[in-house]
Amino acid sequence: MLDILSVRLVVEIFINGVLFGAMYGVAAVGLSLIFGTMRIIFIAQGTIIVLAAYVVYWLFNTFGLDPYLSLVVVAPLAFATGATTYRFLFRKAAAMADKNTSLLIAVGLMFLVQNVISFVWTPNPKSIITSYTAVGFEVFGSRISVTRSISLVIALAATAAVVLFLRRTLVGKAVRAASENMQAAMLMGIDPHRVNAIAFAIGFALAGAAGVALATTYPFDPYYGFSFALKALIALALGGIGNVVGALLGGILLGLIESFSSFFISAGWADAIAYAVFLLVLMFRPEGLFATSFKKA
Amino acid sequence: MPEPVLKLERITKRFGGLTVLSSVDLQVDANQIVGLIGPNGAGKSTLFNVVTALYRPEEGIVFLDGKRITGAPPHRICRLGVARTFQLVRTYLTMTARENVMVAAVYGGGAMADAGRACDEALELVGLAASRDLITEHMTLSARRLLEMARALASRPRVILLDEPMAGLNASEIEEMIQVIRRARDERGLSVLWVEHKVDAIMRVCDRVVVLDHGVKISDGTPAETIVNPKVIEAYLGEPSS
Repeated sequence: MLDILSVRLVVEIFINGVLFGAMYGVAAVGLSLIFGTMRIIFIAQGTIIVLAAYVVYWLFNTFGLDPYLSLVVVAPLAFATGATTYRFLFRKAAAMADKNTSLLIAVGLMFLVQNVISFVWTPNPKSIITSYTAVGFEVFGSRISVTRSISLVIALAATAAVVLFLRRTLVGKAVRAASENMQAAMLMGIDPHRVNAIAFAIGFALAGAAGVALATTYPFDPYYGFSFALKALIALALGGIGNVVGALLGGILLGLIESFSSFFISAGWADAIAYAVFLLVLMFRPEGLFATSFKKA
Repeated sequence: MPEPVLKLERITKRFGGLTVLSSVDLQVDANQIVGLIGPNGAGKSTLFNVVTALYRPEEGIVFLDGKRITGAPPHRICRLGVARTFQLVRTYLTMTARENVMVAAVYGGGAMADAGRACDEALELVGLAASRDLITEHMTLSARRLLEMARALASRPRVILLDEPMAGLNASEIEEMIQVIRRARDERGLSVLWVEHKVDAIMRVCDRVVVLDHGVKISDGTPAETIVNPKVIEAYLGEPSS
Protein backbone atom coordinates (compact mmCIF):
# COMPACT_ATOMS: atom_id res chain seq x y z
CA MET A 1 0.00 0.00 0.00
CA LEU A 2 2.85 2.33 0.78
CA ASP A 3 4.01 2.46 -2.80
CA ILE A 4 0.90 4.36 -3.87
CA LEU A 5 1.56 6.94 -1.18
CA SER A 6 3.03 10.21 -2.13
CA VAL A 7 3.44 13.53 -0.45
CA ARG A 8 0.85 14.94 -2.80
CA LEU A 9 -1.74 12.43 -1.72
CA VAL A 10 -1.10 12.98 1.98
CA VAL A 11 -1.40 16.73 1.48
CA GLU A 12 -4.71 16.22 -0.28
CA ILE A 13 -6.07 13.97 2.46
CA PHE A 14 -4.93 16.50 5.03
CA ILE A 15 -6.54 19.44 3.28
CA ASN A 16 -9.81 17.60 2.76
CA GLY A 17 -9.83 16.64 6.43
CA VAL A 18 -9.32 20.25 7.51
CA LEU A 19 -11.96 21.57 5.14
CA PHE A 20 -14.62 19.08 6.17
CA GLY A 21 -13.65 19.26 9.82
CA ALA A 22 -14.15 23.03 9.83
CA MET A 23 -17.86 22.38 9.26
CA TYR A 24 -17.98 20.05 12.25
CA GLY A 25 -16.19 22.81 14.10
CA VAL A 26 -18.82 25.46 13.35
CA ALA A 27 -21.55 23.06 14.41
CA ALA A 28 -19.61 22.37 17.61
CA VAL A 29 -19.24 26.09 18.36
CA GLY A 30 -23.03 26.37 18.18
CA LEU A 31 -23.44 23.38 20.50
CA SER A 32 -20.92 24.88 22.88
CA LEU A 33 -22.77 28.21 23.14
CA ILE A 34 -26.17 26.61 23.71
CA PHE A 35 -24.72 24.11 26.17
CA GLY A 36 -23.06 27.00 28.00
CA THR A 37 -26.23 28.72 29.09
CA MET A 38 -28.85 25.94 28.75
CA ARG A 39 -26.81 22.95 29.97
CA ILE A 40 -28.22 20.67 27.28
CA ILE A 41 -26.69 19.11 24.19
CA PHE A 42 -28.78 20.70 21.45
CA ILE A 43 -29.08 17.56 19.39
CA ALA A 44 -31.10 19.28 16.65
CA GLN A 45 -28.11 21.48 15.68
CA GLY A 46 -27.11 19.21 12.77
CA THR A 47 -30.65 19.11 11.44
CA ILE A 48 -30.89 22.91 11.60
CA ILE A 49 -27.70 23.01 9.50
CA VAL A 50 -29.31 20.67 6.98
CA LEU A 51 -32.45 22.81 6.99
CA ALA A 52 -30.30 25.86 6.23
CA ALA A 53 -28.68 23.90 3.39
CA TYR A 54 -32.15 23.20 1.96
CA VAL A 55 -33.08 26.86 2.20
CA VAL A 56 -29.89 27.75 0.32
CA TYR A 57 -30.78 25.09 -2.24
CA TRP A 58 -34.28 26.48 -2.61
CA LEU A 59 -33.08 30.08 -2.98
CA PHE A 60 -30.60 28.91 -5.62
CA ASN A 61 -33.09 26.89 -7.66
CA THR A 62 -36.05 29.25 -7.34
CA PHE A 63 -34.44 32.67 -7.55
CA GLY A 64 -31.04 31.77 -8.92
CA LEU A 65 -29.49 33.32 -5.81
CA ASP A 66 -25.80 32.49 -5.51
CA PRO A 67 -25.32 30.17 -2.50
CA TYR A 68 -22.62 32.36 -0.95
CA LEU A 69 -24.65 35.49 -1.49
CA SER A 70 -27.58 33.75 0.21
CA LEU A 71 -25.59 33.89 3.45
CA VAL A 72 -26.79 37.48 3.89
CA VAL A 73 -30.36 36.19 3.89
CA VAL A 74 -29.88 32.86 5.65
CA ALA A 75 -27.73 34.00 8.60
CA PRO A 76 -30.07 36.77 9.83
CA LEU A 77 -33.09 34.55 9.16
CA ALA A 78 -31.51 31.76 11.19
CA PHE A 79 -30.63 34.24 13.97
CA ALA A 80 -34.26 35.32 14.27
CA THR A 81 -35.47 31.71 14.03
CA GLY A 82 -33.14 30.75 16.87
CA ALA A 83 -34.49 33.43 19.20
CA THR A 84 -38.06 32.52 18.24
CA THR A 85 -37.44 28.81 18.76
CA TYR A 86 -36.18 29.51 22.25
CA ARG A 87 -39.12 31.74 23.02
CA PHE A 88 -41.77 29.24 21.97
CA LEU A 89 -40.20 25.84 22.59
CA PHE A 90 -37.62 26.14 25.34
CA ARG A 91 -38.48 29.12 27.51
CA LYS A 92 -40.69 27.21 29.90
CA ALA A 93 -38.51 24.12 30.07
CA ALA A 94 -35.35 26.18 30.62
CA ALA A 95 -36.67 27.40 33.96
CA MET A 96 -36.96 23.82 35.25
CA ALA A 97 -34.19 22.28 37.29
CA ASP A 98 -34.57 19.04 35.33
CA LYS A 99 -32.82 19.48 31.99
CA ASN A 100 -34.29 16.34 30.43
CA THR A 101 -37.38 18.20 29.26
CA SER A 102 -35.27 20.64 27.24
CA LEU A 103 -33.28 17.75 25.80
CA LEU A 104 -36.44 15.92 24.76
CA ILE A 105 -37.80 19.07 23.13
CA ALA A 106 -34.58 19.25 21.11
CA VAL A 107 -35.00 15.62 20.05
CA GLY A 108 -38.62 16.29 19.06
CA LEU A 109 -37.59 19.39 17.13
CA MET A 110 -34.98 17.37 15.27
CA PHE A 111 -37.49 14.73 14.12
CA LEU A 112 -40.07 17.35 13.24
CA VAL A 113 -37.63 19.30 11.07
CA GLN A 114 -36.35 16.10 9.43
CA ASN A 115 -39.84 15.07 8.45
CA VAL A 116 -40.88 18.50 7.28
CA ILE A 117 -37.79 18.65 5.06
CA SER A 118 -38.43 15.23 3.58
CA PHE A 119 -42.07 16.17 2.95
CA VAL A 120 -41.24 19.46 1.28
CA TRP A 121 -38.12 18.46 -0.65
CA THR A 122 -38.46 14.62 -0.80
CA PRO A 123 -36.01 12.33 1.02
CA ASN A 124 -33.68 12.14 -2.00
CA PRO A 125 -30.22 13.66 -1.63
CA LYS A 126 -29.76 17.13 -3.09
CA SER A 127 -26.74 19.10 -4.10
CA ILE A 128 -26.03 22.50 -5.61
CA ILE A 129 -24.07 22.63 -8.81
CA THR A 130 -22.85 26.10 -9.72
CA SER A 131 -20.54 27.21 -12.49
CA TYR A 132 -17.62 27.17 -10.04
CA THR A 133 -18.39 23.93 -8.17
CA ALA A 134 -15.77 21.96 -10.09
CA VAL A 135 -13.17 24.74 -10.10
CA GLY A 136 -10.00 24.16 -8.14
CA PHE A 137 -6.52 25.54 -7.77
CA GLU A 138 -3.15 23.94 -7.30
CA VAL A 139 -1.02 24.23 -4.18
CA PHE A 140 2.27 22.29 -4.13
CA GLY A 141 0.91 20.12 -6.89
CA SER A 142 -2.27 19.25 -4.96
CA ARG A 143 -5.63 20.25 -6.29
CA ILE A 144 -7.87 22.12 -3.87
CA SER A 145 -11.53 22.81 -4.47
CA VAL A 146 -12.56 26.46 -4.39
CA THR A 147 -15.91 25.80 -2.73
CA ARG A 148 -14.34 23.81 0.09
CA SER A 149 -11.79 26.54 0.65
CA ILE A 150 -14.55 29.12 0.88
CA SER A 151 -16.30 26.85 3.40
CA LEU A 152 -13.16 26.92 5.52
CA VAL A 153 -13.05 30.71 5.33
CA ILE A 154 -16.70 30.90 6.39
CA ALA A 155 -16.01 28.57 9.33
CA LEU A 156 -13.01 30.59 10.50
CA ALA A 157 -14.79 33.93 10.09
CA ALA A 158 -17.91 32.71 11.94
CA THR A 159 -15.86 31.39 14.85
CA ALA A 160 -13.80 34.57 15.01
CA ALA A 161 -16.99 36.62 15.08
CA VAL A 162 -18.35 34.56 17.98
CA VAL A 163 -15.08 34.83 19.92
CA LEU A 164 -15.00 38.61 19.45
CA PHE A 165 -18.64 38.86 20.50
CA LEU A 166 -18.00 36.88 23.69
CA ARG A 167 -14.81 38.71 24.62
CA ARG A 168 -15.53 42.26 23.58
CA THR A 169 -19.21 43.00 23.98
CA LEU A 170 -21.16 43.43 27.20
CA VAL A 171 -23.88 41.07 26.00
CA GLY A 172 -21.14 38.56 25.22
CA LYS A 173 -19.81 38.92 28.75
CA ALA A 174 -23.29 38.28 30.11
CA VAL A 175 -23.42 35.07 28.06
CA ARG A 176 -20.02 34.05 29.45
CA ALA A 177 -21.10 34.89 32.99
CA ALA A 178 -24.26 32.80 32.59
CA SER A 179 -22.23 29.93 31.13
CA GLU A 180 -19.89 29.90 34.10
CA ASN A 181 -22.64 30.09 36.67
CA MET A 182 -26.24 30.84 35.82
CA GLN A 183 -27.33 31.31 39.43
CA ALA A 184 -24.63 33.85 40.18
CA ALA A 185 -25.40 35.61 36.90
CA MET A 186 -29.11 35.84 37.72
CA LEU A 187 -28.31 37.33 41.11
CA MET A 188 -26.28 39.94 39.30
CA GLY A 189 -29.27 41.06 37.28
CA ILE A 190 -28.80 38.98 34.14
CA ASP A 191 -32.10 37.77 32.70
CA PRO A 192 -31.62 34.03 32.05
CA HIS A 193 -34.17 34.01 29.22
CA ARG A 194 -32.33 36.77 27.45
CA VAL A 195 -28.93 35.04 27.46
CA ASN A 196 -30.54 31.73 26.51
CA ALA A 197 -32.30 33.39 23.57
CA ILE A 198 -29.02 34.99 22.48
CA ALA A 199 -27.21 31.64 22.68
CA PHE A 200 -29.93 30.06 20.54
CA ALA A 201 -29.93 32.92 18.05
CA ILE A 202 -26.16 32.75 17.56
CA GLY A 203 -26.21 28.94 17.52
CA PHE A 204 -28.79 29.03 14.72
CA ALA A 205 -26.92 31.76 12.83
CA LEU A 206 -23.83 29.54 12.95
CA ALA A 207 -25.98 26.68 11.67
CA GLY A 208 -26.97 28.98 8.81
CA ALA A 209 -23.32 29.60 7.94
CA ALA A 210 -22.54 25.89 8.20
CA GLY A 211 -25.58 25.19 6.01
CA VAL A 212 -24.16 27.39 3.26
CA ALA A 213 -20.81 25.63 3.58
CA LEU A 214 -22.49 22.21 3.45
CA ALA A 215 -24.81 23.02 0.54
CA THR A 216 -21.95 24.18 -1.66
CA THR A 217 -19.58 21.29 -1.01
CA TYR A 218 -21.45 18.01 -0.37
CA PRO A 219 -24.74 16.35 -1.21
CA PHE A 220 -27.18 16.32 1.70
CA ASP A 221 -30.44 14.59 2.63
CA PRO A 222 -33.02 15.26 5.38
CA TYR A 223 -31.60 12.63 7.76
CA TYR A 224 -27.98 13.66 7.52
CA GLY A 225 -28.36 16.14 10.39
CA PHE A 226 -28.42 13.66 13.25
CA SER A 227 -25.06 12.09 12.47
CA PHE A 228 -23.75 15.60 11.84
CA ALA A 229 -24.82 16.60 15.35
CA LEU A 230 -23.11 13.53 16.78
CA LYS A 231 -19.91 14.50 14.98
CA ALA A 232 -20.23 18.02 16.36
CA LEU A 233 -20.57 16.47 19.81
CA ILE A 234 -17.31 14.58 19.30
CA ALA A 235 -15.66 17.82 18.15
CA LEU A 236 -16.99 19.49 21.29
CA ALA A 237 -15.52 16.76 23.49
CA LEU A 238 -12.15 16.97 21.71
CA GLY A 239 -12.05 20.73 22.13
CA GLY A 240 -13.33 20.85 25.68
CA ILE A 241 -16.86 21.90 26.54
CA GLY A 242 -17.17 25.63 26.91
CA ASN A 243 -14.11 26.42 24.82
CA VAL A 244 -15.19 28.09 21.57
CA VAL A 245 -11.84 28.05 19.78
CA GLY A 246 -11.30 24.50 21.08
CA ALA A 247 -14.60 23.45 19.50
CA LEU A 248 -13.43 24.63 16.07
CA LEU A 249 -10.03 22.96 16.50
CA GLY A 250 -11.79 19.80 17.74
CA GLY A 251 -13.88 19.78 14.57
CA ILE A 252 -10.83 20.15 12.37
CA LEU A 253 -9.04 17.39 14.27
CA LEU A 254 -12.05 15.12 13.84
CA GLY A 255 -12.13 15.88 10.11
CA LEU A 256 -8.45 14.87 9.91
CA ILE A 257 -9.01 11.67 11.88
CA GLU A 258 -11.88 10.74 9.57
CA SER A 259 -10.17 11.52 6.33
CA PHE A 260 -6.93 9.73 7.27
CA SER A 261 -8.69 6.69 8.66
CA SER A 262 -10.98 6.38 5.64
CA PHE A 263 -7.94 6.38 3.43
CA PHE A 264 -5.55 4.21 5.42
CA ILE A 265 -8.02 1.80 6.97
CA SER A 266 -11.37 1.99 5.24
CA ALA A 267 -14.26 4.38 4.93
CA GLY A 268 -16.42 1.92 6.85
CA TRP A 269 -14.17 2.20 9.88
CA ALA A 270 -13.94 6.00 9.87
CA ASP A 271 -17.07 6.50 11.99
CA ALA A 272 -16.17 3.74 14.44
CA ILE A 273 -12.73 5.27 14.91
CA ALA A 274 -14.23 8.73 15.42
CA TYR A 275 -16.51 7.44 18.18
CA ALA A 276 -13.68 5.45 19.77
CA VAL A 277 -11.61 8.65 19.93
CA PHE A 278 -14.62 10.37 21.51
CA LEU A 279 -14.79 7.77 24.28
CA LEU A 280 -11.05 7.78 24.85
CA VAL A 281 -10.97 11.56 25.19
CA LEU A 282 -13.86 11.52 27.65
CA MET A 283 -12.15 8.81 29.68
CA PHE A 284 -8.67 10.26 29.81
CA ARG A 285 -8.96 13.96 29.09
CA PRO A 286 -12.51 15.07 29.83
CA GLU A 287 -11.41 18.71 29.91
CA GLY A 288 -10.61 18.49 26.18
CA LEU A 289 -7.32 18.28 24.31
CA PHE A 290 -6.66 22.00 24.16
CA ALA A 291 -7.31 23.04 27.75
CA THR A 292 -4.21 24.47 29.39
CA SER A 293 -5.42 23.83 32.90
CA PHE A 294 -8.30 21.85 34.28
CA LYS A 295 -10.72 24.08 36.16
CA LYS A 296 -12.27 22.23 39.02
CA ALA A 297 -14.28 25.15 40.30
CA MET B 1 -40.34 55.49 62.20
CA PRO B 2 -38.54 55.10 58.89
CA GLU B 3 -39.30 52.10 56.72
CA PRO B 4 -36.84 49.20 57.17
CA VAL B 5 -34.75 48.52 54.04
CA LEU B 6 -35.34 44.79 54.13
CA LYS B 7 -38.21 43.17 55.93
CA LEU B 8 -39.17 39.52 56.08
CA GLU B 9 -42.62 38.71 57.34
CA ARG B 10 -43.50 35.23 58.65
CA ILE B 11 -41.34 33.38 56.12
CA THR B 12 -41.95 29.64 56.04
CA LYS B 13 -40.02 27.36 53.72
CA ARG B 14 -40.46 23.59 53.54
CA PHE B 15 -38.67 20.95 51.56
CA GLY B 16 -41.13 18.09 51.38
CA GLY B 17 -42.03 17.34 55.00
CA LEU B 18 -39.05 19.20 56.42
CA THR B 19 -39.70 22.72 57.63
CA VAL B 20 -36.44 24.63 57.16
CA LEU B 21 -37.75 28.09 58.04
CA SER B 22 -40.70 28.45 60.31
CA SER B 23 -42.51 31.78 60.34
CA VAL B 24 -39.35 33.87 60.53
CA ASP B 25 -39.62 37.65 60.92
CA LEU B 26 -36.53 39.69 60.31
CA GLN B 27 -35.73 43.27 59.47
CA VAL B 28 -32.69 45.27 58.46
CA ASP B 29 -32.91 49.03 58.95
CA ALA B 30 -31.14 51.65 56.89
CA ASN B 31 -27.39 51.79 57.54
CA GLN B 32 -27.48 48.77 59.79
CA ILE B 33 -25.24 45.73 59.80
CA VAL B 34 -27.29 42.77 60.97
CA GLY B 35 -25.62 39.47 61.76
CA LEU B 36 -27.41 36.19 61.17
CA ILE B 37 -25.96 33.26 63.06
CA GLY B 38 -27.01 29.81 64.10
CA PRO B 39 -25.72 26.24 64.19
CA ASN B 40 -25.38 24.23 60.95
CA GLY B 41 -28.75 23.50 59.40
CA ALA B 42 -30.40 26.44 61.12
CA GLY B 43 -31.74 27.74 57.80
CA LYS B 44 -29.42 30.69 57.22
CA SER B 45 -28.56 29.92 53.59
CA THR B 46 -32.17 28.96 52.87
CA LEU B 47 -33.23 32.36 54.15
CA PHE B 48 -30.81 34.04 51.73
CA ASN B 49 -32.14 31.91 48.90
CA VAL B 50 -35.69 32.95 49.75
CA VAL B 51 -34.76 36.66 49.75
CA THR B 52 -32.97 36.37 46.40
CA ALA B 53 -35.87 34.31 44.96
CA LEU B 54 -33.85 31.19 44.24
CA TYR B 55 -36.44 29.55 46.50
CA ARG B 56 -40.07 30.46 46.72
CA PRO B 57 -41.37 30.46 50.31
CA GLU B 58 -44.51 28.49 51.17
CA GLU B 59 -45.69 31.40 53.28
CA GLY B 60 -44.59 34.91 54.05
CA ILE B 61 -43.56 38.06 52.23
CA VAL B 62 -40.26 39.84 51.63
CA PHE B 63 -40.36 43.64 51.43
CA LEU B 64 -37.64 45.94 50.09
CA ASP B 65 -38.15 49.58 51.11
CA GLY B 66 -41.72 48.71 51.96
CA LYS B 67 -42.45 47.21 48.55
CA ARG B 68 -43.27 43.54 48.20
CA ILE B 69 -40.61 41.70 46.16
CA THR B 70 -41.70 38.10 46.73
CA GLY B 71 -42.58 36.48 43.42
CA ALA B 72 -40.19 38.49 41.24
CA PRO B 73 -37.51 36.44 39.42
CA PRO B 74 -33.92 36.51 40.77
CA HIS B 75 -32.53 38.94 38.18
CA ARG B 76 -35.31 41.43 39.01
CA ILE B 77 -34.61 41.16 42.74
CA CYS B 78 -31.00 42.08 42.01
CA ARG B 79 -32.02 45.06 39.89
CA LEU B 80 -34.42 46.19 42.60
CA GLY B 81 -31.48 46.48 44.97
CA VAL B 82 -30.58 43.19 46.68
CA ALA B 83 -27.01 42.02 46.07
CA ARG B 84 -25.36 38.94 47.52
CA THR B 85 -22.09 37.08 47.82
CA PHE B 86 -21.69 33.32 48.04
CA GLN B 87 -20.33 30.95 50.63
CA LEU B 88 -18.52 29.10 47.85
CA VAL B 89 -17.17 31.95 45.74
CA ARG B 90 -18.71 32.22 42.30
CA THR B 91 -16.49 34.70 40.56
CA TYR B 92 -16.21 34.23 36.80
CA LEU B 93 -12.83 32.57 36.54
CA THR B 94 -12.11 33.29 32.88
CA MET B 95 -12.69 37.01 33.21
CA THR B 96 -10.50 39.73 34.66
CA ALA B 97 -11.39 41.28 38.00
CA ARG B 98 -12.74 44.38 36.30
CA GLU B 99 -14.81 42.36 33.82
CA ASN B 100 -16.39 40.48 36.72
CA VAL B 101 -17.39 43.72 38.37
CA MET B 102 -18.44 45.24 35.05
CA VAL B 103 -21.01 42.50 34.45
CA ALA B 104 -22.68 43.39 37.74
CA ALA B 105 -22.39 47.13 37.10
CA VAL B 106 -24.06 46.82 33.70
CA TYR B 107 -26.76 44.28 34.45
CA GLY B 108 -27.29 44.90 38.14
CA GLY B 109 -29.70 47.76 37.78
CA GLY B 110 -27.81 51.05 37.94
CA ALA B 111 -27.70 53.54 35.08
CA MET B 112 -25.63 52.30 32.15
CA ALA B 113 -23.78 55.62 31.87
CA ASP B 114 -22.40 55.23 35.40
CA ALA B 115 -21.42 51.57 35.04
CA GLY B 116 -17.73 52.25 34.44
CA ARG B 117 -17.47 54.59 37.41
CA ALA B 118 -19.46 52.27 39.70
CA CYS B 119 -17.14 49.47 38.69
CA ASP B 120 -13.96 51.39 39.48
CA GLU B 121 -15.32 52.77 42.74
CA ALA B 122 -16.30 49.27 43.89
CA LEU B 123 -12.83 47.90 43.10
CA GLU B 124 -11.33 50.88 44.93
CA LEU B 125 -13.49 50.34 48.01
CA VAL B 126 -12.50 46.69 48.42
CA GLY B 127 -8.85 47.49 47.70
CA LEU B 128 -8.53 45.59 44.44
CA ALA B 129 -7.94 48.58 42.17
CA ALA B 130 -4.38 47.42 41.50
CA SER B 131 -5.44 43.90 40.45
CA ARG B 132 -8.21 45.02 38.13
CA ASP B 133 -6.71 43.39 35.05
CA LEU B 134 -5.82 40.11 36.70
CA ILE B 135 -7.62 37.00 35.41
CA THR B 136 -9.72 35.81 38.33
CA GLU B 137 -8.46 32.25 38.07
CA HIS B 138 -5.09 33.51 39.28
CA MET B 139 -6.44 35.33 42.33
CA THR B 140 -6.29 34.05 45.92
CA LEU B 141 -9.41 33.04 47.81
CA SER B 142 -9.41 36.20 49.88
CA ALA B 143 -9.05 38.35 46.75
CA ARG B 144 -11.93 36.47 45.15
CA ARG B 145 -14.09 37.05 48.22
CA LEU B 146 -13.27 40.77 48.02
CA LEU B 147 -14.06 40.64 44.31
CA GLU B 148 -17.49 39.19 45.04
CA MET B 149 -17.97 42.06 47.45
CA ALA B 150 -16.98 44.54 44.72
CA ARG B 151 -19.36 42.84 42.31
CA ALA B 152 -22.18 43.17 44.82
CA LEU B 153 -21.34 46.86 45.39
CA ALA B 154 -21.17 47.60 41.67
CA SER B 155 -24.78 46.57 41.17
CA ARG B 156 -25.57 49.59 43.37
CA PRO B 157 -27.81 47.79 45.83
CA ARG B 158 -29.84 48.96 48.82
CA VAL B 159 -28.88 45.92 50.87
CA ILE B 160 -26.09 43.36 50.58
CA LEU B 161 -26.46 39.77 51.75
CA LEU B 162 -23.10 38.31 52.73
CA ASP B 163 -22.94 34.52 52.90
CA GLU B 164 -19.97 33.62 55.12
CA PRO B 165 -17.52 36.10 53.61
CA MET B 166 -14.86 35.08 56.18
CA ALA B 167 -14.88 31.35 55.39
CA GLY B 168 -11.38 30.13 54.64
CA LEU B 169 -9.70 33.47 55.40
CA ASN B 170 -6.80 33.93 57.84
CA ALA B 171 -6.74 36.44 60.69
CA SER B 172 -5.34 39.39 58.73
CA GLU B 173 -7.62 38.72 55.78
CA ILE B 174 -10.57 38.67 58.19
CA GLU B 175 -9.55 42.11 59.50
CA GLU B 176 -9.40 43.38 55.93
CA MET B 177 -12.87 42.00 55.16
CA ILE B 178 -14.28 43.60 58.32
CA GLN B 179 -12.89 46.97 57.21
CA VAL B 180 -14.47 46.50 53.78
CA ILE B 181 -17.87 45.66 55.26
CA ARG B 182 -17.70 48.73 57.53
CA ARG B 183 -16.65 50.94 54.62
CA ALA B 184 -19.54 49.63 52.51
CA ARG B 185 -21.93 50.71 55.24
CA ASP B 186 -20.26 54.01 56.18
CA GLU B 187 -19.27 55.27 52.72
CA ARG B 188 -22.15 53.86 50.71
CA GLY B 189 -24.90 54.02 53.28
CA LEU B 190 -25.71 50.38 52.64
CA SER B 191 -27.53 47.92 54.82
CA VAL B 192 -25.94 44.55 55.36
CA LEU B 193 -27.35 41.17 56.32
CA TRP B 194 -24.45 38.95 57.16
CA VAL B 195 -24.40 35.18 57.74
CA GLU B 196 -21.26 34.08 59.52
CA HIS B 197 -19.81 31.22 61.52
CA LYS B 198 -17.06 33.42 62.95
CA VAL B 199 -19.23 34.64 65.81
CA ASP B 200 -16.57 36.91 67.34
CA ALA B 201 -16.41 38.96 64.14
CA ILE B 202 -20.20 39.27 64.11
CA MET B 203 -20.27 40.41 67.73
CA ARG B 204 -17.63 43.08 67.08
CA VAL B 205 -19.15 44.59 63.96
CA CYS B 206 -22.92 44.14 63.95
CA ASP B 207 -25.54 46.55 65.22
CA ARG B 208 -27.97 43.70 65.71
CA VAL B 209 -27.71 39.94 65.75
CA VAL B 210 -30.44 37.47 64.80
CA VAL B 211 -30.06 33.83 65.82
CA LEU B 212 -31.78 30.98 64.02
CA ASP B 213 -32.01 27.43 65.29
CA HIS B 214 -33.77 24.66 63.35
CA GLY B 215 -35.59 27.24 61.26
CA VAL B 216 -36.92 29.22 64.22
CA LYS B 217 -35.75 32.67 65.28
CA ILE B 218 -34.63 32.29 68.88
CA SER B 219 -33.02 35.68 69.48
CA ASP B 220 -32.96 39.17 67.98
CA GLY B 221 -31.06 41.97 69.69
CA THR B 222 -27.78 43.76 70.22
CA PRO B 223 -24.62 41.65 70.41
CA ALA B 224 -24.50 42.22 74.19
CA GLU B 225 -28.06 40.97 74.59
CA THR B 226 -27.42 38.00 72.32
CA ILE B 227 -24.46 36.52 74.14
CA VAL B 228 -26.32 36.35 77.43
CA ASN B 229 -29.55 34.94 75.94
CA PRO B 230 -29.98 31.47 77.49
CA LYS B 231 -31.68 30.13 74.34
CA VAL B 232 -28.64 31.08 72.26
CA ILE B 233 -26.26 29.48 74.71
CA GLU B 234 -28.36 26.35 74.68
CA ALA B 235 -28.49 26.20 70.89
CA TYR B 236 -24.73 26.48 70.64
CA LEU B 237 -23.60 24.51 73.66
CA GLY B 238 -26.52 22.19 74.41
CA GLU B 239 -28.75 22.04 77.46
CA PRO B 240 -27.11 22.57 80.83
CA SER B 241 -26.81 19.17 82.52
CA SER B 242 -28.38 20.24 85.78
